[in-house]
Formats: sequence, structure tokens, C-alpha cells
Amino acid sequence: MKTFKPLFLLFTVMMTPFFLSAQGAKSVLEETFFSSGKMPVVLSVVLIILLGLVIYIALLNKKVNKLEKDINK
Amino acid sequence: MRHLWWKVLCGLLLAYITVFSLTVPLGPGVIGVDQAALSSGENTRLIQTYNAHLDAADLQVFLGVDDSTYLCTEILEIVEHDRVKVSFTLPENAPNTSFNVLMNNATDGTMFFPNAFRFAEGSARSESTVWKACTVSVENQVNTAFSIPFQPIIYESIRNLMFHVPMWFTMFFLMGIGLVASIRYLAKGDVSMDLKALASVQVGLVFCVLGLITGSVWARFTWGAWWVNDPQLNGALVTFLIYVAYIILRNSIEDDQKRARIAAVFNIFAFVILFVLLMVLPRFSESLHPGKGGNPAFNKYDLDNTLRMVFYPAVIAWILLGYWIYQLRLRVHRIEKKYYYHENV
Repeated sequence: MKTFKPLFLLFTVMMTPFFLSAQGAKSVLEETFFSSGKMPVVLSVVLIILLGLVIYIALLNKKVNKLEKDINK
Repeated sequence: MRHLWWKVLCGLLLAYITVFSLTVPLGPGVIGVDQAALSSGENTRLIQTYNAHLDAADLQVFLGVDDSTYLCTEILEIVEHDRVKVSFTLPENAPNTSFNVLMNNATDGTMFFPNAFRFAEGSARSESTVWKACTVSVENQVNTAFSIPFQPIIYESIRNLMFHVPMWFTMFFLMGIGLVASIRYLAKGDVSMDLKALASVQVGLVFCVLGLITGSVWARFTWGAWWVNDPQLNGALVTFLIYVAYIILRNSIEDDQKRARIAAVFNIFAFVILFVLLMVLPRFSESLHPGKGGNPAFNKYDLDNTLRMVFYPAVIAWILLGYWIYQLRLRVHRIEKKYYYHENV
């Protein structure tokens, strides 16, 4: 888990501008996601699904690793 | 690998739906106008469209006042290919207070934008007012180009239909497997059925979470909030919590047989609640979610033939992927059972 911490921190720092409100009517978040006909919304949905499935498969992988280790003991 | 063919099919379908839904262009449509409020007399407005070819030929712009009354406009200037400046003259009164915009051209067909303009002065709705209807007939032309249908506010994010919606189909499918397995466990007392129920709920929950998160992101940029109080959304959340409760309930019972039996009964009730919350209750209440007041998912107007070509394969592809992951999860459970408890299941 230790290796994920800097990654998480980097991600947070990178995402911060998206959640800060700009001076105008629309926030940076909205400006980004409303650009090019709301295509970024599709992109983020696809990425969420891909990442979610990869994370689940990684967890499953961990279980198989443990099982393999126990059986080979 | 056993039963290779449907796994290959799953991969091919996923590739097909991803390429299709990310590359087919969105059809043309009207995005908005520069100023919605109108006044009597001459008005000049800029209309913004998306993916349209206004510079093509034979552009006509109408204001739809009601179902049978149209007002012609004069086209002043076409800016690039997607904006047009029009002018029109309004009398003191109108039969309606909100006007639609209709645009025709040879390439894009008819583009419709509901309630584009407000006409506060026309609120008298006086029938006696002389209202000059446009004499040019508004033909409903069809855009023949191969494209995904344009919908106001949603725009390109309609492509999420192939990613967000099948998550719920897959969850339904997996929870259905769980239901059948639980019923068969109660009928026969077969431990392998208990494992099937557990694995299907575990993988079903993954798709439920993905459906909730992607739905939340989509809602933020179409409805303006990450979460809205809506029967469909709250029903989905309660479903998620109920199935989490199933997992927690299992982990809290020590005795194997007792655990399997209680969990099976709980799972049957959970599926009934899932069905009621997602398929029955939203039909009886107003909902922001597409298909409000009738159908909780979508109605015939939301799907056209182009979308059908990719939506149904998408549902099949994601269900196959879900079933595949479920099988892997189940096999891990079986090996664990065999190795740690020396039970052949």
C-alpha cells in the first residue's frame, strides 16, 4: 500500500484545479467537461469502468497468489 | 481455456462497441441561442448549432409558436458552419409564450430545439391578435448521414448509453444467477450452489458500484448535481446497500450450514427488493432518469436504429464479461473450499 501514497498525492494535486471554482459562472470542472460537446464525460465514464474492473481483477489476483503460495508450501 | 468461443465473442463485441460508440459522429443539432428573452418588434438572435453544416444549401430557420403556427425568419449571416444570425419581427401578442426553433437544410435534415425563446409580452394569449403564420411549410427532413442521434443537453454523452446502462443489465443478470443458486441451495442443500450465490453477488456488486459512479458522473454534467433525490437513483443505492448487507450477514455467521441457509433466504428477498426498487417503483413516480413516468430505463424515442446496432451488442458484451469474471471468482471460491476445508464442491 505504501507505493500508492505518492501516486494518490500526485493525483490529488493534479485534480485540484478541477474542483476549484473559477471567477466566472462556470467552474473549471464544468468548463473542462462541457468542452467539445461533453465528450470528456464519456471518456471519464469509460475510464472509471476500466479502472474499476482492473482493480477488481487485481484483488482477485491477490487471492489467487495467496492460494498458490499456501498450496505450494 | 474451456469454452473459448464465448470469451472470444465477448472480446470482439467489446472491441466493436468501443470503436463504434467512440467514433461514429454525433448527428447535428441546436445547442442554444445567445439571448432567450424576446420582445415585440424586430429581434436579431444568434443560434448556435453542433456538428451542423449550415453553409451547405437551402438553410431555413423557423420559430415554432405552437403545433401548427410557424414564424419565418430572415437569415442575416452564417458564421462559419455552425452559427447563424437570424432576424424576425414579432407582433404584440402571440398564441404562446415559449417558442421552439426549427432548422432545415439539405444536409442535416430538420433540427429541433424546444423552448428556445421566451416571449413574456405574449402572455395574454389573445386569440384576436393577428398572428401571421409562416406560409412556407415546415418539412420534417431526415438526416441521412450515419450518426448517433443528437439530444439536447446530453450531446456527446449519449455514448454513455453503451457503458453506463449495461452495468445495470450485468448486475441484474448476476443477481439473477444468485437468486437461482439460492433457490436451488434451499431446495437441495448443495454447497456449490451457496458458493455460486456468493460469487455472483460479489461480482454483481462490482458492476453495481461502477453503475453508481458512472451514473453520478453523467448526472453531474447533464442534471448539474452528483446526486439527485430521485426514485431510480435512491433505489439503486438501496439495492447496493442491501447486497452489501448480504456479504456482511454471511461474514457474521460462524456455522457453515446456518450461514448458507440464512444467506440464501436473505438473497431471495434481496432480489425481490432489487426488482421492486429498480423496475417497479420508478414507474409510479416522476423521475429525472430517462423514461420517467412509465419506463425506468428508456422508451422508444430514446433509441433509434443506429443506437440499436450498438446498444444490444453492448449489453451482451458486458453481460458476457460479467459472467466471465463471475466464473473466475467462483473457481477461486471452489479451490479455497477444497484446499482449506477439504470439501469437494
